[in-house]
Amino acid sequence: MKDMSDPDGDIIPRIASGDEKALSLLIDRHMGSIHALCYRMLQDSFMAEDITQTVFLRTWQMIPNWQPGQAKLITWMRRVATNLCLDSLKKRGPLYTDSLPEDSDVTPNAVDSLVFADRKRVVAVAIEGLPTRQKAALTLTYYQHVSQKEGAEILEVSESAYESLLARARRSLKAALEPNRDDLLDMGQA
Amino acid sequence: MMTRDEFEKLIEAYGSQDDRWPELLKPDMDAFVQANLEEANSILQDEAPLDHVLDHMVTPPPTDLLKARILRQARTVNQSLQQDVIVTRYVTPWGRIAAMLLVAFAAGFGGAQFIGFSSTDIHEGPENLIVEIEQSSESEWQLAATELGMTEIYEWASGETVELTSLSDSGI
Repeated sequence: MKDMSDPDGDIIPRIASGDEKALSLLIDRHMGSIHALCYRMLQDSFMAEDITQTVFLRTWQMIPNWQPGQAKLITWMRRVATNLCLDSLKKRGPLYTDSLPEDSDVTPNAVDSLVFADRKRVVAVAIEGLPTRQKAALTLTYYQHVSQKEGAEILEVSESAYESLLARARRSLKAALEPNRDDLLDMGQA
Repeated sequence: MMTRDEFEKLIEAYGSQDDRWPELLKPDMDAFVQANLEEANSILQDEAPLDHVLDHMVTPPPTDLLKARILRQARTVNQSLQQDVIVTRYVTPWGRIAAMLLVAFAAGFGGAQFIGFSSTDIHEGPENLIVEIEQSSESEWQLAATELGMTEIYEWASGETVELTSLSDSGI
């Protein structure tokens, strides 16, 4: 039965019947977003890809038992991804470092590119230093554009607790980035 | 009507960009901004730099091979799931128990055979081996020697066998 309230309701029954083309379509729709969520949480491309793969395989295995109308499939997938990332971060422990892997270059000029990369690294280190659940809330809101309700559902907390996680994350980030405030404001111009 | 504190608290959590504000509260937040433009702008400007910084964080895309990897793994998972389905659908619980007992019986029988075979080998003494040599020798070299008319060889070989038997009897 198709669930029209779920944006993936059109392909869920096909995936449930083992249709690999439908799975391929689901991957096209959500792989980038799930990978981005994992990458933002872990700051590690390899781990992010491994967890993305696990999320899709779990979806493939679970979907024959999927109950339509309970939650959106993508919300469930984000929850699995977030929990796997939180588990991975717990095992890994905090990273006491001021250097993180560089993101891909988006500026045309070499000097600007270095400056930009340096500023991004400062922000990435500040995000990396956040407590894991605050980081998850920030990632979901800023890089997944999930609603307050969906974010709370993913982290399995109340909406007010989710709001509090976000506010604390932003406060911590502002404090951590304050010494570089002027440089960071130039990020768009660099 | 939303108060300044409420508005400030929401902006602290969701930032200055209204596309991230909670759907249900957005009309009230917009109304607060309209009614208190200066005050609202000062709160929004305080949070804007962080939004600006966060917006510029780019996430690298996954590698091209990731999709292929997922599909390949999914196929493997599918095959093993199908096998499980066949087992659970077509073999009754009693059938599974019977199959397990059969396997256990076959393993036990095989094990017993192996132990029996090994123990025969272990307990055979050197005397039996010599008898075996003698018996096989008599039927093979004796015939060959007779056929060739080499009686001398026959006699020599008979002497060697007698010597070998007396050596084993004396425990050497």
